[in-house]
Amino acid sequence: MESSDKYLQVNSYDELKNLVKTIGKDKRIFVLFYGAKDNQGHSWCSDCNFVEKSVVKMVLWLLPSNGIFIECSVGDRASWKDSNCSFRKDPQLRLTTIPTLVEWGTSKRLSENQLLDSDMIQILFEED
Amino acid sequence: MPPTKDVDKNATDHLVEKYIEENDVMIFSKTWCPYCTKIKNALKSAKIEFYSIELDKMAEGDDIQEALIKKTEQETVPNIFIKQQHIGGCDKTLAALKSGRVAALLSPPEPEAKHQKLEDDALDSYDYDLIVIGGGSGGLACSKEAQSFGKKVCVLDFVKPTPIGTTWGLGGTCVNVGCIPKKLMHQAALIGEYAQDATDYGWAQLEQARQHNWSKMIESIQMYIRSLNFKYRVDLRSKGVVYENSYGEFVSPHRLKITDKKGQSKEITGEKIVVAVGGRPKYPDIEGDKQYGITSDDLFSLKYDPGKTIVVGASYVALECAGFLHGIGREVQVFVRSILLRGFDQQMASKIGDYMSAIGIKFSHQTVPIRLECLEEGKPGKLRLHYRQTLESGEVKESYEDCNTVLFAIGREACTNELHMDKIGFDLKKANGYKIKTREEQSTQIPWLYAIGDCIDDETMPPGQPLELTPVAIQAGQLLARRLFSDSSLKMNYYNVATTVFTPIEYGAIGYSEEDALSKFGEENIDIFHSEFVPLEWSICHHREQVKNMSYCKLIVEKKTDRVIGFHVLAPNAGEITQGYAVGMRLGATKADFDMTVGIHPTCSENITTLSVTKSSGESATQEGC
Repeated sequence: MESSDKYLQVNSYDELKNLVKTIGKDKRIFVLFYGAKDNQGHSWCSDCNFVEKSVVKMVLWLLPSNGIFIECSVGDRASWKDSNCSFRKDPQLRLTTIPTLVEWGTSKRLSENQLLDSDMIQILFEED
Repeated sequence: MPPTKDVDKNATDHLVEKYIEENDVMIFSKTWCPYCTKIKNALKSAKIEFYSIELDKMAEGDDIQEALIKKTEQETVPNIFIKQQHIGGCDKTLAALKSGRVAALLSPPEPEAKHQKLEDDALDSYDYDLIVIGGGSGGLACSKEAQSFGKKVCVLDFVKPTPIGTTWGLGGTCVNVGCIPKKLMHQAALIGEYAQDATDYGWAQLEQARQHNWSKMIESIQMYIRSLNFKYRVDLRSKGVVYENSYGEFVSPHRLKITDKKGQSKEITGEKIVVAVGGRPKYPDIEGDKQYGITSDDLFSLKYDPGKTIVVGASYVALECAGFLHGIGREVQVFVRSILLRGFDQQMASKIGDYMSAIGIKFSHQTVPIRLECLEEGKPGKLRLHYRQTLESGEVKESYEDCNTVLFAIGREACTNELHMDKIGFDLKKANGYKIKTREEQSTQIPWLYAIGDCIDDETMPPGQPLELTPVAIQAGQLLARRLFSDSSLKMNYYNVATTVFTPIEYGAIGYSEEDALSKFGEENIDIFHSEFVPLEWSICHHREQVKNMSYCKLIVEKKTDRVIGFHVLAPNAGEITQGYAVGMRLGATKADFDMTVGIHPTCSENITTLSVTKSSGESATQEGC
């Protein structure tokens, strides 16, 4: 899928934080974290490969008019496995597993198998 | 059978009447009429006996047809009467056969029912093995337990907004507008107290601690609550429990009409139904109450600082809210109609009142609100609460108090009215808070209906003791599901349930209040051991000087068995203190057991293991030393 102003890709923690800063408070931001992809578009994380297509399709379908979807690579296997990984250490994020879909700024998140359940993803997108 | 013939016109009418009267199913027919044949065949197939006369073959056939037109305005045949009721022609009779009306007309009359006599409309199959109405503490626990036995379960949850429009997500009262936000706000107040303790402990003056930002607190708490709402949604989904964000109404014993937020309805059926709808706060029914007043339903997500607040009521909700509002620095006044904490041990209740007064919360006793007026709109606005107060002299004065917020906490009622339980034969009484009467969580009126939690009044509950508690609902719900869907026979025990009131000084209790113990056992058969004590952590705090002696504990002991039948403690962290003792009481601990248990030092709790002074001895209960 191509990028648009509602569907963005970032490749590092700093990129993600900087991007989020530029997004207005009235927007709902959804971020999908996955392992970095190679030239063929394959991630080193097999679970990520497995769920990505269906998740992205579902997210774009459910994305509200004030929604922004960001796909964020957590880096290569070594960086992710490192306990100092910024994604793991960030106090709000505290990411522990990939693939994970979160609504930024809330504690709502779904990981791994949960991402195969379209009903669960719908629950994530529900308005409070 | 054909009656005897008569000749004149009136006689024809009489004849028609006789045919109709003497035959349960009477068909006025013609031999060549295909519809007559059709309906006769249908009745034969249904094994329903009938009597027919063929008007084309009778001399008085035309006269009879005229008489029928006069009587029924129907010109055609077949013209059919069942039990003297005019049904109509072929189509109408076929329809009556299909709908069961014919059978109903032909079946013997129902004996006069003394009370509502409702048949279980047992179906061949149901949409769900279990429908749980209410997604709160009890409902969620029950539904998940049922699902663990492989049952198909549906949970209905719907929050009707408060008069000012407040609403919330899945999880029920506890999570959204009860225990959880209450405890967090109680903690906010305690932090304010610790901040005042701080200087005595060597910390530099924490000036910032004296400023409390309401919105920031609400934001933190609401974020946490929303994460719980989400967690419960995901949890139900991952366990395969169907969740409908709709409110249910009974159509018949196994059938509910459910309506969602958009007003769209559908019907679902359940072999078993558990009602777990909980309760909502009551309003006092005075002018302006719903328009300008709020309840706990609104307080925990209030988007603006409540400012100076009058709390109307003396329930634990009222006192807990008054307590934390004061603790975070708001001016609070409590309007009490008669006594504090009805249903609780009254000595402890009055000690709580004394403590709260001592820390600066104003109480207005014998006070009843009569009208709530809005002086100025705003967030918060300015309100004027008119009240009537009976003074100690007996004189009744009417006056008013101005404030920013009025919080009504005068009691709760079960949300059973909107279920249309009258359709299944229920008669719920306002005097009983609209609660469903149950025995071991099974309705005493309708055996195939079950109920748990705040909305029930169970025969196995200790009389007069408020048991509207999350853990009670959870355990009752789980045990009920096990009894319904496995061969468990474990019943819920409503006795010796530990409770805690989270007023500024907390109060933990297990078992009998002093009043109940006296009335059940008699003064000569019980001993009451008690002691005042000072929490060590407070002993060096100047700002606690006035109240540091107010911690207190008592044990009520049955002399004959030495068993501890009542446990009461008023102290900081009473909730944490009390829980462990509940295990002991469950095992029938005696006073000797308590005394032989070595205390942990230095704690408040250890005082409960070293009680030696009884009330009857008249000795002083103040604690000496250490």
